Amino acid sequence: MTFSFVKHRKIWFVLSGILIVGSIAAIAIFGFNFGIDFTGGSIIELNFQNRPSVEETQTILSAAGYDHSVIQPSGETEMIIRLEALDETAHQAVLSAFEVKDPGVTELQFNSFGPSVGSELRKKTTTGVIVTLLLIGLFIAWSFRKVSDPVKSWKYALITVFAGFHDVIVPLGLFAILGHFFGWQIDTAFVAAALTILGYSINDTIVVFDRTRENLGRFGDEHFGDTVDKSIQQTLFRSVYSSLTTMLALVAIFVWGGETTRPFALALFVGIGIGTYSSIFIASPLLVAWEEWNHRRRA
Amino acid sequence: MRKKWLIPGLTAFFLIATLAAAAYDFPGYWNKGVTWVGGLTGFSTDAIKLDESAYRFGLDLQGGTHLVYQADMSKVEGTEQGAALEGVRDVIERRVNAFGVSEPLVTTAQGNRIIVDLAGVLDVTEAIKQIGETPILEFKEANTEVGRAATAEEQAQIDAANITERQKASEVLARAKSEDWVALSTELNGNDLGWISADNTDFGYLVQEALNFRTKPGSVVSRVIETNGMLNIVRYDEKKDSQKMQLSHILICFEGKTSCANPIPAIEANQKLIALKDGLTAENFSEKAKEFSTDLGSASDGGYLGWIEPGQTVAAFELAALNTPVGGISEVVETEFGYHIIYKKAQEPITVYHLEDIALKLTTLNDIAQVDEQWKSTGLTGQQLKTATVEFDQTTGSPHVALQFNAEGADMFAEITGRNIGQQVAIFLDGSPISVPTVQDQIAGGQAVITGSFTLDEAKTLAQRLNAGALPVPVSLLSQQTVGPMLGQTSLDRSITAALAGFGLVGLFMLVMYQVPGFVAVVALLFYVALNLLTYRIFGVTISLSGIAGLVLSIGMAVDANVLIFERVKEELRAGRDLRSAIDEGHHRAWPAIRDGHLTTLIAAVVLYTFSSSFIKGFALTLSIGVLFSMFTAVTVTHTYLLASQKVKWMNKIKHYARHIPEQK
Repeated sequence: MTFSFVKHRKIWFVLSGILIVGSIAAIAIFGFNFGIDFTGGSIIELNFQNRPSVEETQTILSAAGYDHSVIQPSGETEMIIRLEALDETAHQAVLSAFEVKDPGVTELQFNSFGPSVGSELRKKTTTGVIVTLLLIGLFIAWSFRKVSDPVKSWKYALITVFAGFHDVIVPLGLFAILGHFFGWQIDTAFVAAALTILGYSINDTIVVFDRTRENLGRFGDEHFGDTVDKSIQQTLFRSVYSSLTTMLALVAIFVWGGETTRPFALALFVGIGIGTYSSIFIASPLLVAWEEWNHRRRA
Repeated sequence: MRKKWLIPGLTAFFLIATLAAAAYDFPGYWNKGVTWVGGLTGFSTDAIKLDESAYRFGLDLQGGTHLVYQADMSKVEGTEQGAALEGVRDVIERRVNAFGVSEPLVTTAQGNRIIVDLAGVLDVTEAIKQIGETPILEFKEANTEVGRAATAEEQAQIDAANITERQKASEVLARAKSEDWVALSTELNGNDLGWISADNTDFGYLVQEALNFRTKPGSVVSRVIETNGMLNIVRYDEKKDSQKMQLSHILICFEGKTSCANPIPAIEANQKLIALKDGLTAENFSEKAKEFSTDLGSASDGGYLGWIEPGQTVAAFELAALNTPVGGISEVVETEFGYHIIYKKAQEPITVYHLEDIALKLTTLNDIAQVDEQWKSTGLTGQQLKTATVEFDQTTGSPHVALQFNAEGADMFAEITGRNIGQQVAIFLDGSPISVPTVQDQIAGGQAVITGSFTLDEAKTLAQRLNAGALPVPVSLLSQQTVGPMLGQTSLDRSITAALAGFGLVGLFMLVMYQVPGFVAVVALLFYVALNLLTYRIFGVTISLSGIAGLVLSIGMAVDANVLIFERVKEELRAGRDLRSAIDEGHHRAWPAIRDGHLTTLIAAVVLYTFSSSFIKGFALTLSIGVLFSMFTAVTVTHTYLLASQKVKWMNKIKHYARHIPEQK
């Protein structure tokens, strides 16, 4: 195979630039549609015998004193209602309002989160992501400590972490768009997906870097860019196959796992796809770009 | 060099381990199998049957409620918060246990949180109501008063009755003046009130009235004296000069004596007293009383009884006190309460009067209306309780619960016990009586003991409950997640389908892409899945929706390691190695990447577990378990299988691993 991933790197950098800027723009414009576990609020999932229309549901809720609600029919007979946080008394009042309308109504699910839980969760999540990145960065810097020529091991670490960021920001942008147009939410499950994507993407990047590490030891005299290119090509099938197997597992979760885990599976699917792309097209070429930039500066 | 038997031996071991783990993972199938075999062979198979207890499923898969409570610790000192939270947790757990839910889970969490997991169907509203009530400790006394005003009808009834009663009293008075007192008193259940002073708390009023109406000794008071709902016909017998004495005492009670809390043998009490009396002075009397006296009512006050008038104490005690000089200490006196030593601080002359009394009852509202509640509040509650601790009876060794009130509570308690001597006082927790002791004496000092036939655990529990009840820690419901059983079942079915489909797709991919090594990888993957399930069962890992997702994902990771290895083997073959050394070298070279990749994923999973809610914890846990196992199965087990497969003719061709490379001889 003669295709050079390193030589055409400007194309990938521009592509990724567009993806990142686009994602950040989507986040800036639409913002996130946070789940109730982040904002506080409640979600009621009901199964009706005679499902009322959205307007009727709105009327029932207004009569019960809730003007701000998000109502979303689901499946054939179900309805998902989002309201402010409810205590148990209020919860029962809402339920009985629906029972008057349809005595055959059953509650499938009810979640209510106080606002304090939400802000605490946001804080925890931010800390979690930062700690993960920090630990992984430190681990890579340590793991690559023996290869510091021509690129220092902390640069491997920094680029790996950057690739991880790249792979998380794209699903975030996607969810900002999905959240705006289809009501998809960023909830705890999404955070789990994001952290998993981090782990996965970094795993992918490491596999390629590991090969570079090995090849540097073997063919040390070659041009650095050629060594990296060779490493990418040697690991290419592995990268694609591995991602494919994982993405197959995710397709299974997406199709058969039910609605609760569907956004989770989609976020992972996109993130792992992007992660494979970034480990091949972004991380390793970045390594070369950095090395050459240093080289030019020294010259 | 490897030993010859190593690879076949290990292979056999791994395969058998896979089957054994699978049998343990699915005990239902195993048991059906052995029953079938037993039926064929006629052997009894019960001994090798496995326990069929199910996996522990999360609330999202079996339906249930997840409640998060916040305990308000703003009024609790920092060092006591941990204990207070545990106390609240225990109280909630006991309440929850009463619901009859299988395996309720009540745990504490950071930030003074209490998490309650209730599985299955239940009345969540009622559960929340019962959990949320702050434990309330109350002291109540017997209710004898109808706690309301009489209705007009009742008042008329009372008035009519009273008219008759007063009339009757007048008749009795007339008879008393003319007839023989002794006969009349016997007929009407009269009482000899003994010698009393005009200051006597109970009967002083009668003395005063007798003197007011200038009654002569030996005659009947000319009026009916009305007190406290009673009509008294009083005969004034005689008066004499006597002494009132300021007394303290030390009581050592023993077996067979009235109201002795901790009876000891009489001989022991005697010895104790003799030892005590030696060196006992007016100066150290109070100190010794505090230490030794078993009269709880006075011990904390140094044995001080106050000013004692004739007739207020039992005769033997009074006589001994009278015979003791002022400032002196008496000999040992035995009364119905035990052995006493008396210290007389002062003495003053008083006049006492001998009265006899025929008392007739006046009808009141309490006589004609029903008492609504058996117990009435005394105002003493957990608010005034300082601590409750488990203590042991020094003689019998049985545990009891000691209460210490704060200053306000101590005063209230002394008052309550004072007015209920010989009667019951009930200790209520959450509206039901947990102990109904009989008051033996007035109790000063704010200490009380709840005795009863407690086991140590019961006593501990009670103390914990009381401490929890006494602590001002209200709880509030922060979040609630309820999954109906219908949705839970659906989710379970769906996630099992997803897991099977995920496994199937991944396995199919491996077979298509790598044929022979792919097949080996799938066999290793079966071991991997069996090991994961084994871990869930043995350690009771809760399998939730997100947990299954974690497992499916870790299957992907395990396969990734195999892909890495197989690609590497392919390269080594292309480089001209023979198959066997290519397999060894492929594993050797792929290992650093597999190790680093797995460790980073593990780092992410551990952080997830530490920083997240319980939903995510399930995911992080199964992912971590999976990552740890896949480093073993995808590397060591696959390696062993591949080497073993070299002995099998149809599996040991290079073309099974890489195309376009000529087979070597």
